[in-house]
This record gives sequence, structure tokens and C-alpha cells, in this order.
Amino acid sequence: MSKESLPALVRLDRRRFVQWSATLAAAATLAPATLKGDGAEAAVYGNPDPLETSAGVETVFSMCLMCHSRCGVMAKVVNGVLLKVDGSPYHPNCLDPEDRVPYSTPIEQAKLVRGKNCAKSQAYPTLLYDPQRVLTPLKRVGPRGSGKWQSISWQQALDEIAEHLATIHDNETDIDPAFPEFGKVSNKLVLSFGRWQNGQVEFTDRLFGKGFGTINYRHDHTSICEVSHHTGFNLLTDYRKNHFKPDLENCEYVVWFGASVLEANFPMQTLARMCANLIKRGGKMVTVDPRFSKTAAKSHRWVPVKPGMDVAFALGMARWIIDNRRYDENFLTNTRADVNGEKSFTDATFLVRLEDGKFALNEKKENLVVAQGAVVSAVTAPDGKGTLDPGVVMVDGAACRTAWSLWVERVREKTVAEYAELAGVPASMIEDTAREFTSFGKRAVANPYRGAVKHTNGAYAAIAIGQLNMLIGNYDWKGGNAAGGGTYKEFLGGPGTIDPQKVVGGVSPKGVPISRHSKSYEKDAPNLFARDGYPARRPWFPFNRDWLYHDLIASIAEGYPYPIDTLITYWNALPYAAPAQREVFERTVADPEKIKLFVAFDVVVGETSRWADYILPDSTSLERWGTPHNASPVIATDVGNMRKPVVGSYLHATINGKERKFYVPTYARGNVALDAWIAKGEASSGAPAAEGPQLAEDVFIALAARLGIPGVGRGTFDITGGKEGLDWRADLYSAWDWYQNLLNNYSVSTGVPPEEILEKGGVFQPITGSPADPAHRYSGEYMRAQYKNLLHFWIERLATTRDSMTGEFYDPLPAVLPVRDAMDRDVSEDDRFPFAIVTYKDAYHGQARTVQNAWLRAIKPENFIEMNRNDGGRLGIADGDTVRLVGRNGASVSGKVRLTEGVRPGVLAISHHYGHWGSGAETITIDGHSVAGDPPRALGVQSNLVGTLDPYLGNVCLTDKIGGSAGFFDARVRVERL
Amino acid sequence: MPQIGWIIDLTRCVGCHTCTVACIAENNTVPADANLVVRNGKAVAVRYRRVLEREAGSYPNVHKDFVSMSCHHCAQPACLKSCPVGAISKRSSDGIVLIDQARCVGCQYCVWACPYGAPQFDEARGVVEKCTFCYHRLDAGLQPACVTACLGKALQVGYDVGGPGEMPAGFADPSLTRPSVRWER
Repeated sequence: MSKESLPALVRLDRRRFVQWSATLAAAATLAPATLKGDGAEAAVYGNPDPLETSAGVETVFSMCLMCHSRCGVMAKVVNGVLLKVDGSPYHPNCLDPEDRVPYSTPIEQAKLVRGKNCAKSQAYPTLLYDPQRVLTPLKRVGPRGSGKWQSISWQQALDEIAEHLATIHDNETDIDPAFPEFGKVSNKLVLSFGRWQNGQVEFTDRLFGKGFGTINYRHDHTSICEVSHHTGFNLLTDYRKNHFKPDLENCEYVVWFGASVLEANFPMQTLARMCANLIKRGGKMVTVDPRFSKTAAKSHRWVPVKPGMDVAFALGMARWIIDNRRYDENFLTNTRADVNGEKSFTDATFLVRLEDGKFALNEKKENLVVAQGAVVSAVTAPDGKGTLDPGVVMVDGAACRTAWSLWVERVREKTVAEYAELAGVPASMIEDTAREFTSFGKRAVANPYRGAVKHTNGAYAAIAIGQLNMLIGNYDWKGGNAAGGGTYKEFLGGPGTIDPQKVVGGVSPKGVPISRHSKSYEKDAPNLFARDGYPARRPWFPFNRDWLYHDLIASIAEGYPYPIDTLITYWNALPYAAPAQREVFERTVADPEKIKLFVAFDVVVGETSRWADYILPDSTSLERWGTPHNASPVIATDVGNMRKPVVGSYLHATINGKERKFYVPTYARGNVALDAWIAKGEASSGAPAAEGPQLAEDVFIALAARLGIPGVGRGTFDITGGKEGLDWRADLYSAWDWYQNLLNNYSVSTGVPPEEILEKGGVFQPITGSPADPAHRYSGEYMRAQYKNLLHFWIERLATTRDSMTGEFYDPLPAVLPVRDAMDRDVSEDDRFPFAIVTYKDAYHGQARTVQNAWLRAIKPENFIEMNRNDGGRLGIADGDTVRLVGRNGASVSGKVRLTEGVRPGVLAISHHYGHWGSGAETITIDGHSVAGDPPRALGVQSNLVGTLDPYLGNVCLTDKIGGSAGFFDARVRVERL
Repeated sequence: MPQIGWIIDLTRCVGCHTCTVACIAENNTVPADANLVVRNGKAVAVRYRRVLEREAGSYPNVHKDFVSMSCHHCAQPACLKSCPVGAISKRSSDGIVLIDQARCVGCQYCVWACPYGAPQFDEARGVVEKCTFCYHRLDAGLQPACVTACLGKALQVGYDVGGPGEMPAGFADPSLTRPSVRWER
């Protein structure tokens, strides 16, 4: 490739935007009458986009990825340029049910209704056309992280990367024969994705898991996201359901714990609109948050809870509800599902053996309850009723009590006043909130998210708050706690679908992933357990099914559980996004012995990718396919989301008798996957060699083709049983082969033709009929989609699993615990570091990535250290002063103070998103030339830099051992005036 | 003649700033392909519509209002009176006030005159621009970009809206220019 043909970073000529506007506007007659002016010369009143109704204006449907809300979008494209992104009028996220356009509406009509999408989504053009984008593969010159790069061809990049991967591609040899739990040498390939959604997730799980053979195929971001919430609810539901949300359409009272749904969560825009509707019809919200969030601003009560003490507030509410008998006894005494007017049920009546914490079971493995004085099966108890507290009951010689009695005993260990003291708020706030919460029948909900759970006690917070809902039995009721609509199957579903996740001739990776998630230390790593006993060298996370991210580099540094070889990251900002990881990350990745090969996919030179050996330029999120699943249970209907590229072009080549479509993103030429098949003699094409950003799936295909691994190429999909008449792909040559199969499965699952699903950006319930019809969301007084299953007061899994560090069994009941380190030592208080930090998400920003979007930073160019005005006064700090924050581990960061009444004293609130040092902020060198960075991207402060490390482990932040979460909000700092 | 105006529900506004960015995207007031210019901590970027976030009260009894502001297409626009070159006009059909950037000489008198900060100086071109009520969309039977995008359904278009209704504190005396906006809660 000629180095002159595509510069590494390129700027679009802004006049391009003006030119088309004038040309297309001339077609429409826009000559308003005026009070002044003689109209002799053409007036210029602005430079607006052409209308969606104008000739030459394309309307293209896809899915947003500026955050994880998974809203449908409708893009306006002219001459291949993305002008504007609005919401999709078909999509349930984007409009209230009565405003949504019926799915059967033709696009030409539908496009006249602009669905809603938030500021981040509206700012998409600033992502595609960001002048700091990387537009060519880069290879480092000099040591890692030196900021010096050479631009190389895709061919060179992928040849070199594949050559190295071939040296660790070995599914026969043990990493260490003495430790079979390490698996085979292929496990030394580690992938870590920041944001990767369905469709893409399964693609790489499949290719790297069953094709290459590594067990370390994912390590995505959830442990810095909200994993303790998922783990908490998984434990409440025996892993049936990790997420519930209020039915906001009918709810009258919501207590948000650490969830600012007007700024964050998903889908934010839908939650925000539903909350606005709720308030307008007289409903009320309570916000439990150390910071006066936007959600608090719309709430009836702001509870300025002490960080990490949401669990105390929740247990305080439970105490009041128990004392005042304001729980729903009908619900709690049910022993099975779908009885006595209820759908779900709890283990309140189930007998628990006191000696080992296990449920008492009969010979059929059914739970036992006391009913009418006798011990009977919960399944057959007369009328589905059991006794809440029959005292101590003997079952087969073992003393037992009900889960309810044990839970109540735990809650009663503290008084409301004591819980209030721990929570740092007046007892009246607990009492008033509990009284109100129990005054709306089923139409009240308590809902936690990140703020409550990113603590070392995070899983217990989620559990306690989930249990508040169990007290009033609101699960599955209209206005209550909803399980939410589902997703149409793009993977193996009913007859006529195929299983694209299967690899013909694939392998089965062995051993434990280095994240140690979803694995038992004793059972899954018996040789490590035999060697080290308790404590394990690093914690194991048997309850967390969602990978570990913030611990990844620290584990690689220690080579625990085993050393690795290659790290491939995708859309990853670990040193920026994880608390107290910058120094650990940079020190570890700088060492080529710890990580022999480091490849990063990115759209800019980011905080992670700046350390890589190779940066592979990625297409943006509107330049790809995907099938993200239903955003959250607040969406009560089913969806089959279908992302597709809204700009770019396609190349075509016939391979193995079928025409294949290869995607060419903006700023690109050619396609790497096509090039790989041409090099192997399987295709021919006149297309130029690939240059510029490439679709990640095609890059993975190109690598796999070089390696000759299963999972790509001829006959890799088993398409037997695929419904006739659909274009099934048995081969994987291009990313579209995969997505065509997914689309076909969607079509079989819904009866809608694939072309229509692709065109409309998906398929959304109701497929026929009116979205306004409540029958799609409700079934009489219940939700249409119901959990209808068991919820726990007693978490048996916790009672019967040992902590890999202390060797003790976990506590099966929620408790107010201080901040604890990996050995459960109390590390909460240290007077030298008097301020707690809480971070938050701005409504118009998404994680690390939106620093790139000029239109979003125009709203707020920098963030601040938000401090209570009295604290400022006490410390002699004025509004606008620059101060230094010093963390417990010696790191420091400086920023400007904003004094406010809206934060709890002793707490600093700092929004995320800012204070970058990469992502286009820094000047780098490419091919010996200086490429200017954009210094304003470095404005503001990133509080993760002063996060608190776990004092026992030393190289990872405080972490919730049950839930897996990074303890963001357990960070403490001192403030120094400068 | 009917006077077009804004009806803004302060309860529904959640302070998301979507209106700001939807307007930028629709009206191309900030380039999509250039780095943001920041000077003295402020973005140098024309935004016809902006949301003020205003805190009141004292901890823990705090209140916050979100006030979305663009041009109010006043019945007696101060900008129009201030313009020395006649670049500003008011449509007879609906009272939309427009600045003709072909006539504007960038003196910025209107920037000074407007009580609401609606006219803004574009450094790149040396002229002043402001909210056009998306007349290009209205004339085609479509709605302004901010209205369609508003997540909370707080922004609505009305005619002869009366007002000012639940006027936020600090809003300029409406008798000065007779802004076409009515606030609701």
C-alpha cells in the first residue's frame, strides 16, 4: 500500500456538508415571506440538513451503540455521508406505545415520524468523522507506550499477528501437566472486549473458543459495569433472571437505589420519558444516592445515603415493614408459583437445616414446608400455603427453621435507628419511605443499580433491595417489578432455525479462564487448591457468571492462575475505566515477557491501545452488523434488534458457488477477509487491497483464514434443518455469512421475511396490530411476560460455598458490612483520607468513548470535583479553585472544584468521561511525522486514578468477592489546596 | 396572523441536553469533523438551543430546574430593532424571526440586545445566527428537530401560546420583547 494513498488521520472538508445542503435545498421551495427585505438576493437563514422527504436523501435503519440502551435508530444519509441520526419510530425504546409506528408500516410513511434518541446518538456524525480517528493499521516503533508508530498494510499486520498466534495455537499440550486446570497452550490467547454486543459476542466466542480453542475468549467489561447487580439477582433467582425493572407505565412509587435513570441505565431515554410520564400522572420517586442526581431532582425525596450503605437503608426499610406487619402475607405464605392470585413465589416457608444451611428436601428433592402442622412438600402443600414461622422443626433428625424466620432474625439484629445511623440519614427517611413503599399495593418498586452495588458489599445490596420487592410481592404485577420482554431468537430456536454457534469440526476449550469467574476454586482448580489452600493467591468468583475485567491485567502480572502469551483487546479502556489500574496496567503491559504480543482494536489511539504492538483500526458502531438483545425489563415487549451499516459500500465475490458480500467502511477500500480468501486462491476479485478501518469480524476471519483453524471457511456451519427457501450459509467467508444466518433465524422465529427485518433495523412486537394495544404488555392485572418462579430470602449457594480467600462459608443473608479487603478485613475508615468519591454518568456521555464527540463536549467541556459547599467553606476552598486529590495508594490527580448543595458532606462527586490522556488527546508520531492531538480531550479529572487498591492483593482495586464488582465507590481521598 | 411559539413543560424536562445536540445535528452549527474549540473552559460552538441547570435550596433540601432556551421569536424582537443593516426579519405567516447571514455584517448588536442569548456569533464566518424554529421543517409539515428529539416530551410547538405561565426565576421581564413561550409544570 502506498503511504500517500490514505493518511493515518484525515479531515473531511466541511464544505462538503454545505455543498449538498445548498443543492438539495434548492429543489424545495423555501422562500418565506418577510416583513423586511426585497428578496432580490437569496437569503441565507441557516445551513440545515435536507429533509427526509427530499430526493437523494436515504433513510437507513440500524441500532445505536453510543451506550448500551440498544435503541433503534433511523439515519439520514446523503451521498454516503451520515448527516443525522434520529430514533426509529418502530422501536419500543424510542416512543411511547401510543406514538410508536406499527411494524407493518412501510418505511416511506414510517420515516415521517421521528423516533427519539438521546444526545449521544444524535452526536454520531462526530464519531464517524472524528479527525483523531486511526485510519490505518499501526505498528509500534520503540518501546510500548512510547507514542511512536509506523503505518503498515493490513496484509503485513495480519501476517505478523497470525505468525505469532500460530506459535501458541496448540490444543494438545498442557500449559502445565501438573495443573490440568490451566488447560492447553491455546489458553494463552486472551481476548478482552470493552463493549461488544450480541451478534458480535457469539461470533468471537465461537471463533476463538471453538475454533482457536482458548477458554479466555471474552473478558468483557461487566466487572467495571454492574456485575454485582447481576450476581445478586442471579442468587435471588437461582440464575434464572439477573434483572428486573419497574413497570413504570403503571407504577406509582419507585425507590431508586444508586440508579440515575434520567442519566444512565438502559434504555435511558425510555426510562427518562416513562419517569416524566409517571410524575405527570401523580406518581412519586425517591432517590437514594450520595449525589443529588437529575433523578433526585425529579424525586419526591432525596436520600443522601453514605456511599456503600444503600444496604443499610434497604434493611432499615425491611425492619420497619416487618415491625409494622406491612408485608404481603398472602404472597409470602405461598409455596409454589401461580397460586392464590400470585405468579411468583418465595422460599419464605421453606425449611432450612440449621447445621449446614441447606434446604430440607424430600426424597424427590422437593422443598419442605410446614402446612397445617405437618411437614409437607412445597409442591403439594394444600392450597399452596405454608407457615411463615412455625419455630424449630425437626426433619430427618435435623433442626430446621423457615427461610423467613432466619431472614427476619437477621433484619432484626439492628433497629431502624441503627440502620439510619449506618446509612447516615435520619430515621424518619427510612420510616417515611417504608410507609410510602407499602401504601401502593403492588404498584411500588425498589430498584438498584450501579451506585448501590459497586462496593465490596455490592451483591448483598442488590439482594436486600430485591428482597424489599418480595416483601410486598410486586413481582409480575402491573405496576410492579417486571421481568420484561424477551428477544426473538437469532440463534438456535424452534424448528427451522439452525445453530450458528456450532463449529463443524470445532474444538472444546479446557481449563479455567484467567478471570476465575463462574468457577469453584476447590472443584475446578483442585491442584491449585492442593498447592495453595486458603487463601488462594487471588480470589475466585464462583457466583459471577459475567467475566472479570478490572482484575485481568493484575492477574496477568502475577501469572495467576497461569501465565499468558497474547492479549487482544477490542474497544478497551481498562487503565482509564477501572479504579486504580493505570499504573498496574502500564507497568505490566510494558513488559514483553508478561504479554508477548499485544494487539488492540480501536477507533482512536486510546488509553489501552497506545500500549499495543499493533493498533488495528475499527469501523464505528454504525458501520457494522449486530443483534443486540432487549435492553432491559422496562421494555415489556419482545424485540429482534438488527444493526446494519448505515454508510459504506460492499464488494462482491463468488466463493464456493455463492455470492458473498464484503463490507467496506467509511475511509476504507477493499476488505481484509476478501483479501485473505484471494491469497488462499478461493476467490478472485478486482478490488483493491484493504486499506483503512475494517469490520472487526472480517479481521478475525482474515486471521483465522491464515491460521487454518476451524470456525471459518467452507462448511463451518451446520445448516441442516434450516427452513427451506431461506439463504442459509454453510460457509463463513465474510461477516455477512454469519449475519445472514442470524437474520434467517430471526425470520423463522417471527415469520417476517429477512429483507424486511434487515430494512427496518429489526423486528419488534407487535409484529401485526397496534403497539398501543396494552395486550402486548399486560395480561389483565399482570405483566404479559412473567418471571413466575422462585425468589430467595435464603441463598443456599452462599451458605454452602467457601470463600477462596478466608476458607469460610459465605453469609447466606444480607448484612451491613463495612468496606472489606480480599481477606475480609475492615478497611473502611482512615481519617487521613476523609472524602469518599462517587462517580456518575452524564446523560449526554457514555463511558470512556464520548470524549471523542465534539458535539457532546460542547455541552460541558470539562468535569469538576463536586463538593458540598460547607466542606468547601471548612477547607477554605472556593468555587473554581484547583485542588489535588490524593488517594490511599499515593496516586494523585488535580481538578477544579464546583461547590454545590447537591452532594453529601464528606463525598466528592465526579462525573466519568473526562480527564483523558489518550483517545485523541495526545500528540503521537506516525512514520516520523508528528500527528497533533486534541488537548481539550484531556480537560477535567478522571477519579479512577485515585481509586483505592486492595491492600492485601496490592495490584487491583477493592472488589466484591461475591458479585465480582470493582468497588468504585469505596475509594477515599484527601483534598489538598494548591 | 398567528404567532408560533414554544410550550415548555418544566416537569417533563429531565435535563438530558438532547435538544441541544439534535439542533446542532439538524442545523450544522458545529462541524462534525473538527476538534472542538475550547477557550477559557468554554466551548466555542454555536448552539441555538441550550439547557440551563439551576440549583437552589440548601443541603439536603435541594431543588434543580432544567430550563431549555432557544430563540423565543418575540412579538417585539429586540434583535430586529437593533440590527443596523436590516438583516433580521419576522415572517408574516407565523412570526418566525430570521437572521439573513448574507446581509449580516457581524456587528453583534443583536447579541447584546437579546435578553435570552439567542443570537450567537459564528467566529468561522463572522456572522450571527440563531434558532430558525426549523422553519425548513415546519414549511414541509414536519416538526422542529428539538421537539421531535425531546426525550421527556417537554417541548411542544404552539400558536398564540399566551404565557409566560410558570416562568422560571431569572427569566427576563416578558413585557420587554413579548417572547412567544409559555412554561408549564
